[in-house]
Amino acid sequence: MSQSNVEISQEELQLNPHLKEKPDTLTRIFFRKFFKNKLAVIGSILLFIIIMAAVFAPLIAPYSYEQQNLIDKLKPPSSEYWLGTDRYGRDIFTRLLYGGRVSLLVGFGAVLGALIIGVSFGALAGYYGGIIDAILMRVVDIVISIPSFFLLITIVTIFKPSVGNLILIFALTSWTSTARLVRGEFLTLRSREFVLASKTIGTKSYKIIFSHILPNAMGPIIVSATLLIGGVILAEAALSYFGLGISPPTPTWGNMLQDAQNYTVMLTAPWYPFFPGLLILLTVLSFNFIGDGLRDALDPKSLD
Amino acid sequence: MTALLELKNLKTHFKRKKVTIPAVDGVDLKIHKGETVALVGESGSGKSITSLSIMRLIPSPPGEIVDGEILFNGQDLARLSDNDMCKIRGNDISMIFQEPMTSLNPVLTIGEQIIEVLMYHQKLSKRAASLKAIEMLETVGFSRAKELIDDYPHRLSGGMRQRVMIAIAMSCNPKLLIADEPTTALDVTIQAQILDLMKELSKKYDTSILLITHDLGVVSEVADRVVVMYCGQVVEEASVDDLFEEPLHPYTIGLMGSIPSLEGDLDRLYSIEGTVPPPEHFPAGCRFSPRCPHAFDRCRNEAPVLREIGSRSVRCFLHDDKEATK
Repeated sequence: MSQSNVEISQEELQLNPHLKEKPDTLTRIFFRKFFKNKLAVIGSILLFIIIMAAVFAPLIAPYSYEQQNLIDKLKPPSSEYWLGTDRYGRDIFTRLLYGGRVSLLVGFGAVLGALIIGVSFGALAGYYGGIIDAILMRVVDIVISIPSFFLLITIVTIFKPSVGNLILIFALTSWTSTARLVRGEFLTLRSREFVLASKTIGTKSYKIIFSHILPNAMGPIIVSATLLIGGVILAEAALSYFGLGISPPTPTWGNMLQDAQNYTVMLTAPWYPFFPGLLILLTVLSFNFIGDGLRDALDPKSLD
Repeated sequence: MTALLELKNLKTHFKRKKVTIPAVDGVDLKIHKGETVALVGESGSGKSITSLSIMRLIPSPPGEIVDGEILFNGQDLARLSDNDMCKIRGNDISMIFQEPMTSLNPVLTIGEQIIEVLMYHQKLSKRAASLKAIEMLETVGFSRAKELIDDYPHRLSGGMRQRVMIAIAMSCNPKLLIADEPTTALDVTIQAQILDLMKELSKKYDTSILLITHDLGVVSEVADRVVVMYCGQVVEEASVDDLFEEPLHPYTIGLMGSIPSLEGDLDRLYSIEGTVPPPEHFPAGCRFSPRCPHAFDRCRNEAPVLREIGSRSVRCFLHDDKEATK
């Protein structure tokens, strides 16, 4: 089925839809719809650049992130220091690259953890229903009823904030929305005929849950995950801003912002808080745009 | 001749807030090897619940098989563990449904859905299973089976999907195929194809078929024997020829009369008066009595039993005397 007509251009396709003899696979429909959303495409490109920059930070960075140069402190952007220097004369560009690593790692890690917990809870509750559903969902209610930011602050002050701990804490506080979402999806999907049909061929429950129902619920899960990553990055920045996140010298976007919070810095070197703030904004915005794009692309009800 | 499947006094009840609803209330049924038995009746007569009971797929709670035996090859399915039941489903007994549009998983390819069954029941390797899957798709009449394997269900028409469902159901050579209104959602030309295919496969693999339908045209086409159900009970059972030649139970007569005919120019179609009573309001005595044109006092007070008359049986007082004359 993979012969011919790969080289038909998008224009030709729009002029004559019959040109595409190639079957509309779900992936093709998905990509076509996703690429129509300009913001989502811009978001993906931006995010790709940010992720690559963070991953290859040691190769790109002109300096070491903890190399101090007290003579050059709070220098404006120049050819020597592309985005200027901070209070200890460290290169801001370098620190942003490394800071991105922490923010993104915490974001992805925490959301992965949240997904694992949330999907398991939601899937079990939605698939089995009844008492299991009632118990699991009350647990969710309890977790939701605790104001998560204050819980975060409390936990972080008790345990030493390391990247691992942050991921764990964020995962443990942010899985509830996923659990509710997945439960809802499972409630509607479990009564669909193909689930009954796969029961009649002897498929075991765990297989029905993971290989039959879960792929059908993947769309909303992916969307909520992308939106969640943005939220976690923001929360991590907020924690660092309060001085409760990863402690300096390790740079994060949040603790760089915090470091920049004083009058002299704000007045003499306004670019210092500007750049980490801009990066947080861009990253979170990209995730939200991508989330929106995915939502439209994965929704079977909106064709083209 | 021993039966492949025998239901003895099967009772499946649904409990809803202290009210018990006897959806299936003492059904006896026999299916022999290689035989096609049609189960007919109006909506709500308990046909589908009977078939789901055989598969042990009654949603529980609230449903429960409260009494009776489901003997399959001498083994009582009603008392089997869930694990053992999983081994029987798809392997010895499989099922196809009314709605081919929704019975295939939209996010898995056709191949994946067939291969899964084969790998689980026949313990085939992935390679062997996919070869067998292609073979099955060819058996049900797809010429480009190799390409179809990588296709998703949304690319197929209703008739094609139903054939895929049959391929999945038949892939492990089951001894019994339960077909729950397999042609209702298809248009007439496709119906004939699907029925022919089922007939052909049942002959080829010596598979018994339990065909659930309310289409008597379909029944006369494929069935060997017919079981008529009403309100969770069997009211008449006979071979196709006997039944169509001389239906005994007033309900069966009514059903036959409701078939639109091309001959004669009736203005109105015949229909049985009234509707199937909801299970919580089953009348005392014969359950068909309120709608029966021949009902007399005894019918309203005493429940008739399923009585054998020669090779057939009927649950009606009108035929009490016939037994003696036999």
